[in-house]
Amino acid sequence: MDAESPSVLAARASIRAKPDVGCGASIPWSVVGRDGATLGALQGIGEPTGVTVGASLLSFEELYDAHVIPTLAVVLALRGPGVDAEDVVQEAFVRALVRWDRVGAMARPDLWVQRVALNLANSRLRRLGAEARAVGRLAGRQETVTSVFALEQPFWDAVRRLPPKQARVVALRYAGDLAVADIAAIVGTAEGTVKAQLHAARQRLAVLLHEPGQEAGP
Amino acid sequence: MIDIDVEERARRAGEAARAEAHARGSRLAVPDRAPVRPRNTALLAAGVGLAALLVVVGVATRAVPPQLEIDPVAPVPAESGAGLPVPDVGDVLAAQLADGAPVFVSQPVPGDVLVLDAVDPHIGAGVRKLLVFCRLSAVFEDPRDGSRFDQWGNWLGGPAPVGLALYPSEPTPDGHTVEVVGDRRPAPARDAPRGGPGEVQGGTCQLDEGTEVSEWVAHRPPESVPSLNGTEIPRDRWVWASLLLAGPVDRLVICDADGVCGTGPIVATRLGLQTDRELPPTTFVALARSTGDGHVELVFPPAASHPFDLVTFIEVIDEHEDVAREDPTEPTTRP
Repeated sequence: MDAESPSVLAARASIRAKPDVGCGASIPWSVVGRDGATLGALQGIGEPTGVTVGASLLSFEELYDAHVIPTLAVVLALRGPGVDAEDVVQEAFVRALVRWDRVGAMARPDLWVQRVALNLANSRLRRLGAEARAVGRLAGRQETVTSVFALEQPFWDAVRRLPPKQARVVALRYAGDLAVADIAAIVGTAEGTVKAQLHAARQRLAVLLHEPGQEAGP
Repeated sequence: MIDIDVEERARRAGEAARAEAHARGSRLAVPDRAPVRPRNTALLAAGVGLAALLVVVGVATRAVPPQLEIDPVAPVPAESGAGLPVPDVGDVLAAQLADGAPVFVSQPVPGDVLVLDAVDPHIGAGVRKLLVFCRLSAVFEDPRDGSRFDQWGNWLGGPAPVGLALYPSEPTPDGHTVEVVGDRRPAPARDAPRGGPGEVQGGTCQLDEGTEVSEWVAHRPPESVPSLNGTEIPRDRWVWASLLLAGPVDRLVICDADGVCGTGPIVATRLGLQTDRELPPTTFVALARSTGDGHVELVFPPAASHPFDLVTFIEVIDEHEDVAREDPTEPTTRP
């Protein structure tokens, strides 16, 4: 058997990767969707398809100035004022800066940062466990900086009682003031799915906001 | 009507959130470019880069096991008679049974503990691979081909034909561990889930560099993986092994990283390869088990490129190949 194995001789050959094979270009598994199909929505962000789609011309500082407020607003809305929202957003932008050669080349680096911030917020809450989730539910009762946000806590409390996917799209749509197409790119799903989730969320919120004991709001 | 009311209320609440963010924005500082932090661990997107790393490992030196592109939780070794630790509610542990079989211990709801097969039921390109658990989404995922399963092992999507197989288990009296008490049970059909409902979290781990490595639970090879040839792979027990796979695919042999080949198992048929192709010699790390009938079963780590990706993505440099053909140094054959 071994005498018949020319392969082992060939084992001494040097092998090199094809120079045109870049990260994600030929094994794009990092953009494989839940049904095994390439996740087209991610192309709106411009990564990681291996092809830069309409690269952004923003500097990092310009990205930060233009998007730190809506990014923070989404985290505040989704997690309440008491769950280190600033830390989460700061961390998301630091990650963008560390990888600016790649992130800055994306068509929409702001969507990348928003998604990282959402994941960080989610992971922090999960890591802290059930106790933190209870705290999260009570987060609306913690101190806010502005009175207008304090007045709207009953609404965001209700949002936090929605299924996670619905809560996420509501926060992105209204606190982030993002278009449906942008939300779809951030959460990695189809626009139609986002619209359906928003519709279901509004239906459920209508019920939650009119429950006895729930303030009607300002 | 109700919808419009909620819409207006939502817009107002959104404006309030942005006002709050604006007020808090002054507490934030623009991250400084100067102190760029070192990157923790290479993350998930570098499949081909890993492939390149894998193949430039020469066979003249002992192979360095390829590093996984993730930094998962180390598997919990299970000794015979010892139970498997029970994870926190909502969490999952990677473990191996006494025979080395890779499993996940999952507790989706309090008191509901499952020991699930960690091998993806989808066999892509004739190759079996391990799944990972994403804590952000609470979903078992195949990062290579996209199959997804909930914490009960039910199929959620992707090419896998069924859900995850289950090992029947019972909790030990102290409640901190479970013991596997029977043989592996068949996997549930796609349309016949075994439990649930599986609440899938909103997050995703398919986020390349934005996802923290700590959010993955997966099996990975130990720091030091033995270099085994075909005859040294144990029977009916799974071991991590560094292997060299080479030759015409209808006569594949397994050699160790020094080029010493065993006369033992042929793997081509088990891998379901086309027999008219020549496989470039490739060192790789996998879970391996001899079935005792002349075959070796292989299960590849999650996110690793396996040798049959490499067939597609590498080319042999011609001049070196010529040199190799003239190289009189035959590999020694183990008696």
